[in-house]
Amino acid sequence: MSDNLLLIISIIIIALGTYLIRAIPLFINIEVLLGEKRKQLVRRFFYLMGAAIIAALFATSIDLSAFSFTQLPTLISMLSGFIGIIIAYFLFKNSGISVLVGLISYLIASLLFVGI
Amino acid sequence: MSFIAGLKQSWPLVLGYLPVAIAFGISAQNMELSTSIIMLISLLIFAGASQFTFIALFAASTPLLTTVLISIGLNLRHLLYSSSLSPTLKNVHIRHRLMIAFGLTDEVFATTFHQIKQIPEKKRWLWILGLEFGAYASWVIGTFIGIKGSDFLLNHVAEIKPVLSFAMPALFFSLLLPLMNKKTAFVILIAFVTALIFTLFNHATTGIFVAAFIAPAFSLFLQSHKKPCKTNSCKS
Repeated sequence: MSDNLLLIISIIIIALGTYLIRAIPLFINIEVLLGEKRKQLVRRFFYLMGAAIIAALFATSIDLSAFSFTQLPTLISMLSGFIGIIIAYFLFKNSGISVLVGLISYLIASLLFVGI
Repeated sequence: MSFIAGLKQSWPLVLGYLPVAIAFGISAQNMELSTSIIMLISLLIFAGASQFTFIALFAASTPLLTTVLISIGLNLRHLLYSSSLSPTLKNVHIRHRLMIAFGLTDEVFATTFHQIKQIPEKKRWLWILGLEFGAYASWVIGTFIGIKGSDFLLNHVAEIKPVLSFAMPALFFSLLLPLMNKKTAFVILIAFVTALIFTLFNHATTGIFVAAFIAPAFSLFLQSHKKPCKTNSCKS
């Protein structure tokens, strides 16, 4: 079997594995499995789990190397971006606009503090 | 119209995905993989961490079986996304669930979780499909741009790269803000700190898994053991 064919087969297997990981839980009704009594508990758990996952994704997406004195402009830019997002959210209650304002705040701060 | 509505909501994902996809295209090109192989990876897998890991392990001549298992293992956290969304999609037809399963990435999940209850049940799958289409299109196009424009991009786009690298944390933070209330504040804090600690020790994926279970479980445990209020002031 040629190297190229083995590579293509590997890619297909990874793709299939990833798809099954994403698909299978969509067909399992946990509430039915655990019964009526635990339905409210399951719903609360999944609601909280959703918020926990997004918080975890946020934590893992932050550039931790910015938290040092040598990266002060990056840190200030990041904080400016987050402040921009908070202000935009309270004004417009729209995630898309909040992200855009956050990016613009980040860009302005990075241009202003580039000399530090 | 639901598909278009979902597509419109995908623009923050497009902003975040484009630079990562371009970076993937450039990296894979530097590892002397053919254009068709690189495009096949992005077209079929559609999972950033997994794709970068795959090409890195392949370039290091790691045995293919090990490479495949590690690349799939990195995506195990996606089990959580589908599990979390499953109750909100229980009235969606099986074939529609099969369609939307393909594009359930971290960011698609986060955006969907934030908005899904505002969308009528029958139209949810279309909305998600629109969202995934925007994200997927930017991923595939970005990969192609990375492959074809690697020399030009490395020399001229350094200035905007830091801003685009802020797109992902900006997106997750903006999705987290509406979820913050008395019921979720504690869970969010525990999950954030847990994931941060794991990230500091280079185990970000494990951190997401652990945070996803520990935070809500701990919160529900504390609530179930909370002493009942016996004074009149508790009723206000």
